[in-house]
Amino acid sequence: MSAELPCKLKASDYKSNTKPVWCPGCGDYHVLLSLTKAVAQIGLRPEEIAVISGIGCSSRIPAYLNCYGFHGVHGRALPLATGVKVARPDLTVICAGGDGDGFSIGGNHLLHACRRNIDITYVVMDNEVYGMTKGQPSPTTAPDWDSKIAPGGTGISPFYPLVIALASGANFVARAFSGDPNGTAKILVDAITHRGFSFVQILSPCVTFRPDQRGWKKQVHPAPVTPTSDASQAARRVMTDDGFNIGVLYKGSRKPYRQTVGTEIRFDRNLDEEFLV
Amino acid sequence: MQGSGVPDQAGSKDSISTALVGKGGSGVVTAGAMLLTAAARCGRYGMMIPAVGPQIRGGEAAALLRLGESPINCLDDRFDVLLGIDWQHAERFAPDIPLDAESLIITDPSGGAVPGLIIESGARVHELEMKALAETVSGGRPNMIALGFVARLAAIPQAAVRQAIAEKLAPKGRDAVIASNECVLLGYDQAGRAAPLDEAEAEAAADATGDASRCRWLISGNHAAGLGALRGGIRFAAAYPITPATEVLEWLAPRLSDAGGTLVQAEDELASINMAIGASYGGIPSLTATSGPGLSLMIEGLGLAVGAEIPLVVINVMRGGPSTGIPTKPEQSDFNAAVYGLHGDAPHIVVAANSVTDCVYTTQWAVHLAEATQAPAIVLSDQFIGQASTVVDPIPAIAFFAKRRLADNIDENFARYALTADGISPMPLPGTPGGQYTADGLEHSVNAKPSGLLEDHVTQLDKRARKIAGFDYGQHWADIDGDGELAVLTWGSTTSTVREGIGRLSTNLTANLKLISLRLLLPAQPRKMADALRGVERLMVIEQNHTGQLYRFLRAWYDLPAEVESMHRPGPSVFRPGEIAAALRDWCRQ
Amino acid sequence: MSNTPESYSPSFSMAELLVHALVIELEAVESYKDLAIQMKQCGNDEVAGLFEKMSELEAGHAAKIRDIAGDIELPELAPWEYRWPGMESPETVDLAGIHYLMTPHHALKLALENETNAMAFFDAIANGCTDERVCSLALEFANDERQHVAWMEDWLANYPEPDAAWDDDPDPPAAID
Repeated sequence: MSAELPCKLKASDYKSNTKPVWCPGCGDYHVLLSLTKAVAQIGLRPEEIAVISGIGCSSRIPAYLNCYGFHGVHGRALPLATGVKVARPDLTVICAGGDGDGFSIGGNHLLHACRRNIDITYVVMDNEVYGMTKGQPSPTTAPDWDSKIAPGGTGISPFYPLVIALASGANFVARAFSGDPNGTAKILVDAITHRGFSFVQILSPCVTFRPDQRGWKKQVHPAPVTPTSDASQAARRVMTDDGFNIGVLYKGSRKPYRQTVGTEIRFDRNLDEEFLV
Repeated sequence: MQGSGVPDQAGSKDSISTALVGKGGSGVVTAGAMLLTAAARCGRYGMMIPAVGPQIRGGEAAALLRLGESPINCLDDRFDVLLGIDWQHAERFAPDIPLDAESLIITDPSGGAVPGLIIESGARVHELEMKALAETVSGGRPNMIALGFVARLAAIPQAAVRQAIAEKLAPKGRDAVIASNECVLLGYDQAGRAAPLDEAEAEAAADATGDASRCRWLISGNHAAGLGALRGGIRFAAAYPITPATEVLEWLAPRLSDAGGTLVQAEDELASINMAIGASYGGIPSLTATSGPGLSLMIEGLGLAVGAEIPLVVINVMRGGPSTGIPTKPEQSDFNAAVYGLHGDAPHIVVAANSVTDCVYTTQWAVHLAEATQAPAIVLSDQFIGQASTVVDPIPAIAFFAKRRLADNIDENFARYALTADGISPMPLPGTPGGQYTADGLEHSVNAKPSGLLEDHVTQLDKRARKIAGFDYGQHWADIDGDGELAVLTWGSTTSTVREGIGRLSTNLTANLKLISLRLLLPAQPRKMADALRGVERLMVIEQNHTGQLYRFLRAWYDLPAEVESMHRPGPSVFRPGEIAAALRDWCRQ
Repeated sequence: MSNTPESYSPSFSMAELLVHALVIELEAVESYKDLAIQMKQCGNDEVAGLFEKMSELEAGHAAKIRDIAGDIELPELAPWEYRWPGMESPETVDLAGIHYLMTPHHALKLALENETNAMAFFDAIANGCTDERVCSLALEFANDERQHVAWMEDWLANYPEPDAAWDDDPDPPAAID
């Protein structure tokens, strides 16, 4: 982040003038709102933010922000973001995408991004469906959810992304709800300012393929406990809660990934010398 | 071109080829490395190719060396000496170590019988009790006896060998050094009795430690590629290990760090290519290195770099393909993947290094090209060049640096993908106020907004094609020697073998023969090739793959003479100069 | 029914009341603008126009509140520091109620709901506050909203509930990536 004073832009100043392709009513509109509120609150300069995404409805978000962005290929947002952050530690890097992009094709990268504890914030807009490709089950979909590609349901249990993140070493884990933009904004500020890998799962209903998610608004509730610094305790909570606990669940103190490209030359090697016989 | 009229089957008279074999743990590769270093100290040239069996530990190993007075860049047709500390599965190496009646096999009777396949060559056999001799020295090892013996045969002075031992074994302690030196001495002594040097040779050997005025480098192609990358300005690398490219990355790791850069080990090739793209998007020249299977995984990422116009270098050290193929052997069969692999119309750059030394320049050039054109550049090397320890003349630095066209003065009319005359549009680095844009694999307008419109697609395709096709590649596109109505065209590691093969033809043939070693594979250079082929009536294309991949490409993209022949063969065995010479001789006389 | 529960009874200072009132309007301005864009993208021009009008109306209200605030220094609060009944402004739209084929009836119902919620919010403040000046202003705001509610009801009367097949789209959704 810039050493200068926080800049005083309004949340709406962080929006670009590109009109989103999302269906009207998509939860991601409120995620966008939360994100803009969050970065406005921190006072980041738009040009110092890089929003990196993969492919999917949620992954369209970089273009809707007035920041630097990269809409990469499916599932590879985290390595892309890692490269950006290592090359440019001065930037605030926010990685974004959906549950399909992040947990299916991107699942492997989630593990290792958490392990590295790279200082970025990863926002997954979880709607328990592949929206962009018109409604297939995702790794967070219930086993009995009927779809064309898996009539009667996949029969496969969803996994717990928050627990995986905890087990892999994420330094900050939270669950949010898109229908609560202020609450989400607060969690995002916390996530962005917390050093290391911050993972925020935002339940963001899909108005087109998951109309049943209208009910989420009534089901979400603030987590009844304060965030813990004990990863196993946090994992246990997540594995035993109703899936609608909202709030920061875990805050760790692992050192963030150290390797970065800098201007400092550690040692002026004469490379030729080592080959000289 | 200079011919010499050497008969094909005789191999080179200017070099000596020595092979050491033994089961894992016998230390043949170490002994070979010391021999090479010692030769370099004397001002000689040489190369060493390690070869291994399929076990990780304990499997058979071979060190194939060739030493000479002039630069050595390929193996000879035959080996003068084959020393076996033991013969475990050594018949596996028989195709790589051709012997004949002039060759010498050195065997330890306690190491088992020489395999029939090897005896069949008709080589002379000399017994050397390496194990027994080593046992006479406390801490002595048979491979050091072997080292002494073959060093003497190669007329390398003991002093040079002692220096090599001191360097290599110092970490193991004084006793190890002393023991090894004693063994080497025993080996020398045995060789002296077996093949006494005449007076002239003895003198030459004695003062050949000298020539300190000619300094040499000892380097492998993989390390050379790393050096070229650093010289070119690379400061970020993403790494996923794969045989035979891992050394590029391992060499770069600490040196990048010292230079203020960094290397991140990725979880897979999908991660490594995307990390490199992300870092490059951030403004840092970036690369990754891999081999065929990894390149396949990276193809989508390469396409992203094309579409979003991100500079990127991928070093691909080719091995036997397809699929997992033959990881420890060279082949030139990734040409198609590198050139055609990307989906969509995706212009990009492919260059090929044609020697160990050339790995430095070609990689450095690739960095320059990628940064200048804001596109991916693939550097094709192969296992032969990559893992050959080679003694070369020092490789001076040249002034090719990464230079990206950046957008600094940004007004409200700024368009990231503006349609410029040369197709290269200034790139704003993140952090630059007012330059915010979202880089995208989606097709886009000049303003980087996703677009599916014909107008945008065509103009952006034209732009991306224009910037690659229109770039001035200068003289580096190919190395061209000689002139005539006959031409031989090749690429990569085959170049050195072809050059040596041509060197054995008679002068009246070579006077009418041109050699073209293609360095820039993609984009095609029709004008330059037309100039190069002016007056050429017959063309021979030589490459190491099963389907003649370059030959097909040439047919697709270039006007070729009426008569074109393709000489192609897959790995795992490399071409030999003698067979090239024989083939060319026949071809020339047709 | 509103989203302000019975138990909501905050004690605001004048500055706090003003900033809450202002932010309700300002957020509504952006919210309606955003909804208008969403509608426009889907070719639902009629409803887009309605939402644009709402946005303008709210902008007018905001201007009025700024005038009332005059030189009073308003506190700068983080989005979650406002003391709304819940986490969000009473006029925060439930996106689940948005549909690309929504009719003016639906849009006005939504707006009516917003105004009703805002009214209930100010009523609660007016009932619960202790400072007379604050009470008085809160009541004024509540009455303004009551007026808005009436307008919305009148407006809505022009658009009866559409038939059951209003959201019937014979075409399937498109995959664009």
